[in-house]
Amino acid sequence: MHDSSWSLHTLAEFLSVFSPDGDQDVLRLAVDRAAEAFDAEVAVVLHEDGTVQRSIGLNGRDLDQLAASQAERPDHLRLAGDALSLLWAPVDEHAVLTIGRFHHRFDSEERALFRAMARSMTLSLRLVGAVEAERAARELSEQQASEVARLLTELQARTAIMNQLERIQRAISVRRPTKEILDAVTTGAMSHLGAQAAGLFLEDESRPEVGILFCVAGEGTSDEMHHEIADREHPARLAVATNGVVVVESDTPPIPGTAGGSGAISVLAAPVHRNGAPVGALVVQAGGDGGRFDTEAVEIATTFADHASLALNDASAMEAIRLALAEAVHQATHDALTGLANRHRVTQELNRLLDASRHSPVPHPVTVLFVDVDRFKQVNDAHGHAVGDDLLKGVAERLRRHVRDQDLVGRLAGDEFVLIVDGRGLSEGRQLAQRLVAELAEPLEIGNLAIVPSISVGVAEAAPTDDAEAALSSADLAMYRAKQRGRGRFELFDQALRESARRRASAEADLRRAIDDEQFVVHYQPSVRLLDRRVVGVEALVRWEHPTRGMVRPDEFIPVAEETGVITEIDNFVLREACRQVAEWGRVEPSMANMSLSVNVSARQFNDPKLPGAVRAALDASGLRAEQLYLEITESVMMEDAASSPTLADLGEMGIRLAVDDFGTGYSSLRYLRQFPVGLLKIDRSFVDGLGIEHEDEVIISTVIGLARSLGIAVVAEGVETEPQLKHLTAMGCDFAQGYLFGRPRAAAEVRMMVMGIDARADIEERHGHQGGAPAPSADADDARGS
Amino acid sequence: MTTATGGQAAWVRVGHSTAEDSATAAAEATALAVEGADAQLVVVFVSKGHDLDVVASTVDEQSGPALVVGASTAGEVFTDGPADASVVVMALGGDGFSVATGLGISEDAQDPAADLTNVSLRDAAFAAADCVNQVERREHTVLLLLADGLVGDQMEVVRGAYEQAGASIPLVGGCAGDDLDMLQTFQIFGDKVHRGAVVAAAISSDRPIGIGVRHGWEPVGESMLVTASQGVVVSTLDDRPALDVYLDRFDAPAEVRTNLDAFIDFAVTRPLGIRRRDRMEIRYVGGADFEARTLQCIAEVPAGGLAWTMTGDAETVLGATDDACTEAIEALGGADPLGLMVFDCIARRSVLTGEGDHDEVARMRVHAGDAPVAGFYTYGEIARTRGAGGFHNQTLVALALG
Repeated sequence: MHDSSWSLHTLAEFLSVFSPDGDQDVLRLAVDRAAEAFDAEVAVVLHEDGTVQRSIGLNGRDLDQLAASQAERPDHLRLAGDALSLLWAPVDEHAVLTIGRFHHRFDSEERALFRAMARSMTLSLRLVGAVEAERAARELSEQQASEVARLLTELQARTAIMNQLERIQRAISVRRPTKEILDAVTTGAMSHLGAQAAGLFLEDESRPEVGILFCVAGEGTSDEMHHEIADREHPARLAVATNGVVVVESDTPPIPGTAGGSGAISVLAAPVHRNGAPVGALVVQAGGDGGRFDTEAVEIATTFADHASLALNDASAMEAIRLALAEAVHQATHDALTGLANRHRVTQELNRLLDASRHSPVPHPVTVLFVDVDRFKQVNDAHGHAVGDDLLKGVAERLRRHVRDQDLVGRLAGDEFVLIVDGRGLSEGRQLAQRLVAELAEPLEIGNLAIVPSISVGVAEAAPTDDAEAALSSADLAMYRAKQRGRGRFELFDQALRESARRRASAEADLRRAIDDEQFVVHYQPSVRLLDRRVVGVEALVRWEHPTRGMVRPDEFIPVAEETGVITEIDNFVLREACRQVAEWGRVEPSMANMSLSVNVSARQFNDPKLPGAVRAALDASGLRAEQLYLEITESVMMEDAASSPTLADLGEMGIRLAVDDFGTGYSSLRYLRQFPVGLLKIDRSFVDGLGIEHEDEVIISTVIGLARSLGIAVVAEGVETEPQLKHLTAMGCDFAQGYLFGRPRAAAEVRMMVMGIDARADIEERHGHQGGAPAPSADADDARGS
Repeated sequence: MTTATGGQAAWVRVGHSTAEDSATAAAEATALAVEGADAQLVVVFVSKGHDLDVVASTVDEQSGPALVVGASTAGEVFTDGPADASVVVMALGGDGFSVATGLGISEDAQDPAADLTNVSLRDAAFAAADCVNQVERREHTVLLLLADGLVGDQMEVVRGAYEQAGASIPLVGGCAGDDLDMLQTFQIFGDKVHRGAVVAAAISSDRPIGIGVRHGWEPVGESMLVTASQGVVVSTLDDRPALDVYLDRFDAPAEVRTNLDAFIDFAVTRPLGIRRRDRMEIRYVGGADFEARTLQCIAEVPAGGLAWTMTGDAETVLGATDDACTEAIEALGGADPLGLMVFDCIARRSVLTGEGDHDEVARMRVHAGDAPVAGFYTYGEIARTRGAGGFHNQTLVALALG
């Protein structure tokens, strides 16, 4: 047995003697060096017509006998009473190189090396051929300049390939990490074949039913991926199964993550070997318009694959790969904190079970339990992340203890866990959920703390048509209902939930269509300075102009939008459009140049790290000044999310201020008012309603105004509907007011006309005149969640 | 091309002379070896301090019908011990031997002033080895090669000879020396002296022939990757200038780092080892370029392979001597040797300080029993018994004629 990297160095040495200058007797070099490398006595290059092009070691009849056996390519031959072991490999389309050794048979490593040598030599021979042709062409006339150019290009390409191979050999020689070497193989194959992507697949020894994408190069791919390939028709698996090069046209890209192209993709898979046996494949994927791989491409890919084989022949390399694969598979499929299966693995396993269930002749239920730890955020906030992590670990441990070995427990994210119970239906799922809820509620000791975990569980039996995503989503909905119904309990997914889910899906589709069709518009609620009763600001409010339903009220669509996540897109639209509009007013109408703008921000958006970028973009695009813009959040959002918001610091730096909506309805901390860039407090309309009626409301408003003044924060009273309310507020020192008294939310053009048409008082007078001072039903901001 | 056949029991004898006069020394040594019999082959190993033309013509004349081949040396070996500035002659004859000799001369060597440093002796070896096609074939045949030791890549000698001789003929021999002047070596064919040449003798025998090969060097330290080399010139090891790596590995003293002579003396006992399929091959470091920071070896050191620095001491070198002689003689299958021919690298002698070289030859004598010993200190050794390669450095090659 050879030293583990003998073959690599031998190959490197072998190739190093070939130079592209064309002055060498390549065939002579080939036979000399191949024989010496293997301690072989015989080396012969035979033309396909049987003529000996170059030989050493045999003469006369013995050589004739060897040449005559070319068609059969036997692995040994008896010559002069001795057995001559033989290896054969083509060196170009018309010639074959064979080496023979008396007394010692060739082992699998030697066979792999010889194949690699022959292939590399073929490339060298072509390179030399290209050099010679280029030289010859150089002698010819100008008209043949294009031929020279073509040859030069070919020459450069071949030189580049040889250089790349040399680099790979170098990497192997200096014992670079195996992953790095194999990366060099995939990158090399991709770039030299002009391919879109290349990947190295290896069979998973422990699970022969799957192959694993071990390393990959190409746009759209990620080194983090260790994709499992279960499809037996995958080109890599075909190459392993047939132990030969596979060239196919595929409709789907065989390398995950890549885009493929518009038409069929040409795919080439060349097997890689370990100890002579195929253990994986180098897969090269052409771009959509990359055309088919030709014979030469097959040769090049095979050469790179052979280099991968050489690296794999190193025992330590294989061990390193095994460890890396196991680690990668574990990392890719398990959650680092709890050691449970992660979302990827849960989805994969669930899909596998559902697939098996579908193909099973007898009904085979699969039940999913979606488990959410109640009030996890509070534990985290109160005791720190370390305690939070320990709580999750504790819950994970308990969940694991309560399921059978064959059931899968996973952690999807944060405080969300999932249990997949195979072969059990909804009633067993219910029993398990019941047990979990009860037994999880035992106190858990974390450091000096005794925390009593509480969980909400949703149970769903997968429907026959469900995929993993649908089954998880059903259990999630049931869990959500358990939360709504008081936490620390479980709920089963039933028809009603399914129906509501269906409706929600349909509503979501409607919302998305509405965005695409630009059915959302922004209306503006004016805000008046009490000192002079001039309109100095607006609050942006979204409206849905439904083509058939007419104007849809925000409270009809905002909850669904929030639930489905579409809210973010709506929020961004409002932000962009409102900034654009207010900035435009400022440009065309000097009296509106300092108009302030309030834009509502949902809790989700407030916690979205993309918010500062979106705000910056809206300001940049519109030209609105940062100090004109208020982002409006509710008091509860400020209390619950502001401290941990990833966006607040960035927004503060940009000079954006917050407006706190519904102020007074919750329990605000003064600390927060000082800590955050709050510029505006909006007194909730419920207090304004009580002005002149409830003494308590007056006290509250007065306190808020005093508090705000002491902190240098302006105050806006919401829902002002009557003149007496207005007078009260003015007397109490309130800065601004908005409400029906000053006009309902209206389209941009109307707002401008309103500001231009004298002032707000005119509007008030007019309204009083028409309506005799009776307050109209409110249609202002509190029905109009902006976004 | 010359052939000869004999007519009595096979015999091998060795003569040696330390006479200062070249004609006298040649005549004395030849007479002792031939003893008036009809030798078939006479092989001469002679210090270049002698007038080689005189030696060649004298031996040829004194050996009657025998075919003559020979080489200049870096010291001679004969039964009684190592020698310098002397002439050693080994003669063989009698029934059971057939011999043919051949000569190949590099075309470049026709010009006496030509620099032969980068000349290939492959074609010369191929031509010289054609004698295997001329010799009357008996059961066992060996091709003896004596080549210019300072011309080109010596591996080419083996390649050329092998291409001609094929797998069935073992190759054995050595590269001529010049008493470590490292300027010019000479080859003798008949009564003529050549340079840039390969002389060969195909010896075919009814009795077995044994060959033994050992070097006795051990790797020291980690392997190094040959990151750049061109033929025999090693430019970088592990991407650093090869000379610096080499000097640092051996913690070479200051003089060795600046003085070429000191370097050559130093390097003689510190070769490089390069890995082959199932063994380590030695590369003698014969020089260095202090400007280019490269090492000059006697045979090719291919890029991409692993190399080691090697050291040896008297014990390992003498151990290798025993092993090589044992291997050669055991290959005779129990038959007593008629004669033992040795090709012993001059670098090995350098390790054997004091009486060490006498000790070595005494060991050869012990292995040879009653058989005479002849050989020389070489600039490279040839032994191919399997595979296609067979050029060695800092090695002892022993040929036992049964």
